[in-house]
Amino acid sequence: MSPRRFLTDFEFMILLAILRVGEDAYGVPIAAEIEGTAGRPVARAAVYTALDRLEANGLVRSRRGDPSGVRGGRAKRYFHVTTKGVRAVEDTRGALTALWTGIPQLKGGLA
Amino acid sequence: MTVRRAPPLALRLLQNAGCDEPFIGDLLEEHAAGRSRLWFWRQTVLALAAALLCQTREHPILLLRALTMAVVIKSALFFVAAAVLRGSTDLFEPVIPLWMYMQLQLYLVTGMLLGFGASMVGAWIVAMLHGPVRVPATLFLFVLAAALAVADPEVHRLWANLPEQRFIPYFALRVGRHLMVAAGTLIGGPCYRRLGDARARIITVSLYVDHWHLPGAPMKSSRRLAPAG
Repeated sequence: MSPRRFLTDFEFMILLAILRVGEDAYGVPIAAEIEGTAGRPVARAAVYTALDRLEANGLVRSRRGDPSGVRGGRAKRYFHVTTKGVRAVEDTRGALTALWTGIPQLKGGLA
Repeated sequence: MTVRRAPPLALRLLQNAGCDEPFIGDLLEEHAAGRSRLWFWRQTVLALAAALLCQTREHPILLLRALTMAVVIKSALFFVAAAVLRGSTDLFEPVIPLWMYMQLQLYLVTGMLLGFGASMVGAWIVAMLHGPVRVPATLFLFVLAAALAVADPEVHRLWANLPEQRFIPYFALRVGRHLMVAAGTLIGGPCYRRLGDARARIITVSLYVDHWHLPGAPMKSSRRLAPAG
């Protein structure tokens, strides 16, 4: 089975959230970014499931930070978007823009 | 500053489900920052559901083996214990006359306790030997036992050709036995961690065997929501 070319909406949001957060992108700020901008609650398990899938597909890479007391001695897992991930974001945005264009019902769009 | 304590049971469930340590750390951090216990529990349930789906999808053959093994182990333990304690291998019918009412009660209660113990040990062994599918295996066994508890009176009614359902205390004890099996499964499944290093050794051997005999099954277990064992 060939890999998917475009991202799901949730994967798209996660990649954008990682890019917005920057260097300090681990689970908590990524979820907060999605909740803050999308205005919907996000299950943390869903975030990690999607991040694992994105990492398996080479779209993000992760590294472990240092453990801290407030986290029960557990390390943070920092994520960053790979070049392939950035390309996937651009491809998906291009596809969405193409779909958006030329729809008269969507006032204020690119029509 | 005092760090707020997360619900210990929820934390234990997350650890036993093999959730990623940074993921658990994230939940603890948010809880310490002011999230409620209800929020923590909701995230725990969702994480268990995600682990259930993930493990089931990735290791269907291993899960089937775990469930089969659980039924065999539980039945064998129940059979042996019943034979030793009651001096009989007839598991489902009382060997004492019905007029000996107290002894009948004793028989049923003994059956419930045996069912509980056998289920707990069976679920414990299966969870220990099937790390990658311990969440779905335990939950499926629990659901099976609970379904039997619900279906038992109706099955008995059809079997006895009774026109309508009647409440008989005997039924309550029969249902109770299935519920005890369900409870034993739910307790026994997550308890395997107490074995410590021995567990790790057994799982290592189990995964090694799976690697050669169940093509494609075990080695995909490095996904974060799948167990680390």
